[in-house]
Amino acid sequence: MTAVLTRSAPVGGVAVSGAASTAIRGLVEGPRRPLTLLAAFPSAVYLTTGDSTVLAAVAPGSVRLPCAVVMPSAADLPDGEVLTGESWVGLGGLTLDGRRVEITQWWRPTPPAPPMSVEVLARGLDALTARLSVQQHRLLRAISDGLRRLEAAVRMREPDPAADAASALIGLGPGLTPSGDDVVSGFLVGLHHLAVPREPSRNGHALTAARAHVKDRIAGRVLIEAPVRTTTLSAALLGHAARGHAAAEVTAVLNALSGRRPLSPVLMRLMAVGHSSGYDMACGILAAGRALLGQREG
Amino acid sequence: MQASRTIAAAPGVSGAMIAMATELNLDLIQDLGFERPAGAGPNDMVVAVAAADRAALEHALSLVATALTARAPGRDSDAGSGPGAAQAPRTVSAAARDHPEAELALISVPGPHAFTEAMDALESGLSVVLFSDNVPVELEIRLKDEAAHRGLLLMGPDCGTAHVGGLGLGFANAVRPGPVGIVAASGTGAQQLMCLLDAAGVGISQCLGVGGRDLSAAVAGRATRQALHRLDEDPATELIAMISKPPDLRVAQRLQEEAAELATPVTFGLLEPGAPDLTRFTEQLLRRLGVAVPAWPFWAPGRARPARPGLLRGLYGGGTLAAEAHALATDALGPVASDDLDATGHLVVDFGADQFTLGRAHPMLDPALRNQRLVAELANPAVGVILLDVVLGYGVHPDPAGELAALLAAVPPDPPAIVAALVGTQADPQDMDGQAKQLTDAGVSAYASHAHAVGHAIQLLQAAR
Repeated sequence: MTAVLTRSAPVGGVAVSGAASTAIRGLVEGPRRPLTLLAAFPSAVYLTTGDSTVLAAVAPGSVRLPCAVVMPSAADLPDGEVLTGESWVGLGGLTLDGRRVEITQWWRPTPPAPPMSVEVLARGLDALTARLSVQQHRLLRAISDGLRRLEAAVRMREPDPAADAASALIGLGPGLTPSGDDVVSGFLVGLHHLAVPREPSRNGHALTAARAHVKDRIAGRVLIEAPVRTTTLSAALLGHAARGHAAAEVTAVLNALSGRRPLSPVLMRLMAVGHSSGYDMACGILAAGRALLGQREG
Repeated sequence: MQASRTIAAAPGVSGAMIAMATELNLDLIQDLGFERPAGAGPNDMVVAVAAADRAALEHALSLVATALTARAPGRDSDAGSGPGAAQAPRTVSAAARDHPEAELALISVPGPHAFTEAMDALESGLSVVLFSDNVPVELEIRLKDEAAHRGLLLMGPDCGTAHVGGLGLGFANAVRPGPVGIVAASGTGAQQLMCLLDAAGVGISQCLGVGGRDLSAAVAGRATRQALHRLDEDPATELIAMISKPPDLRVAQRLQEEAAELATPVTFGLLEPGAPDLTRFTEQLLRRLGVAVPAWPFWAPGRARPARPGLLRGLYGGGTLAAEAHALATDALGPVASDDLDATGHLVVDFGADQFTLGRAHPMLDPALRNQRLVAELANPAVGVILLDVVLGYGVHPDPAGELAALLAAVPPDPPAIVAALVGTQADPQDMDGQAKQLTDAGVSAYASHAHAVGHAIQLLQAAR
């Protein structure tokens, strides 16, 4: 019965309600923190609290980033490229350009990790390879080379070379989230959530542990280096990927690789993310899946 | 990336790169033969263009400006109207073709048309929340068989509430996320359960409504079976709660046997005679989760009306709450009529039942029928206590307590006592404490637990006898 006391009075009229990712629950329900504008698009506005924390206010139907608050409508996003009214996050919601949004719904940015057999994942990866090969996008040479090194190091379960390879991709390439970052994001989320069963050998436990160790080493390096090596928005998204959080568009593709739903429609949705971000993330997922299966690029 | 390509292909341009000025991108630009811009950081954008002459450079830069200020197609709110704009889809299948990412259709059309629309959605690969009521049971079975055949879920018909993927559908309370997954053959029952869990600090993962008839002998738990498997596969769900209006016992037994095979534990709350009421069921769930059972909130009126002997009259918008009131009152008071508007003894009416909603909105949206009856019962000297449900949340009346308070402002002298169940959460848009205050100011005793409200009503009648 005390929850009502922690909510602030609506500012500038009646508060509307929004939905947010549980990855930013601490931020939303924490104390009041001022927000400054990082970037503004017609269907999404990126805001920062000044440190490396980023919050995205997005229109319904646009990409549900793990740091997103979905507004009731695109009309609730600020019109201009400058915030004139007060903007802050905390106390259970978000005040954006003087307008209050109370968070009343939450979703989890951690994809369900359906257990899948080696055969099912291999089939899923074949389908993903085929569908990526007909896309008009291509990775920059420097990025595809870097991704190949990252994949090989994970396949061989070599933590330091893997972390080095990931590091060499951070901040590389075009885009507000540089292409290299998107590839690493896809790779990390893939490592987190493509749940291949333990190798059926006597030292299966040791191999699984080695895999987790490699993943943690890459994630650790990304968390340290991204804030100084890439854009604030991209560093924040890499931070989420290092913790296994992903946009719903990415989650859906991971789920489809388990054979539980058709791949084409969800991949189409991922491809629509950014100019090339969706394609880049899909390449990262594919590489992670191959590395986990011990496959080489076919 | 597209901007880079457009500029690189412009006449007189020999090299171009547009990227954020990260360390690695600045290295790349340097490798291409450009100077490193001083003072540029990762949040700045660098535009590097190598051109044959000034005119080519200026043309290229104008292309950059155009590319960077162009709006993505199809995202503008003003792009969908006016002549030449794409037509809004006219059928569910057309909408599904336009939105291949969609997974669920919410259908709320009058009962006779619901089957066609729901089948159209299923054939387009969408699971369905079927809000419509007055759907014949044979058609419900056909829809549920079709859904099962396609690996989809048909929630409903008469599915009043659902929480799927973090979104509340139908009549939905603003509840916190958490470990409990709910399968409900009962709309207001699910709302009562979710709101009590929320008051205890426990959230839900999903709430899948299956329609009030799903556990009948005819429908035989078709949607419940699908829903249980869905929740079993959902890693966010740690405990499944299945609630239903009084079920067919053989169907219930078969489902309980099947549920025992799932990896996620399932607790059944079947509102059959002798079973725990929804409040006690919620308390069982909390104990199972290791969470302390709180004192359920209640709000006492400032000026309590003296109890007077007489009849119990329960006037409900929620079917499960009406059924629960009927069961509890029958145990304590003897025979209680149900939905019979001409009854002369104790009576509980569910104004959301099919026969009362033909051609009109649900009483949780439009309480006119119930209001009419309430005014009549207030003036009826034979009535001792009136029981009501007041349901908050999204999709229902914006101020149900205010509406009741307005009716109660003109009560006759020596009116019957009024007891209400206030089903809602602190995050609901109506402001729960404000609603409670309006009720208590109007002389109503309000309880967060419906069973406690019924218990209080029975006590008043027994004490006055």
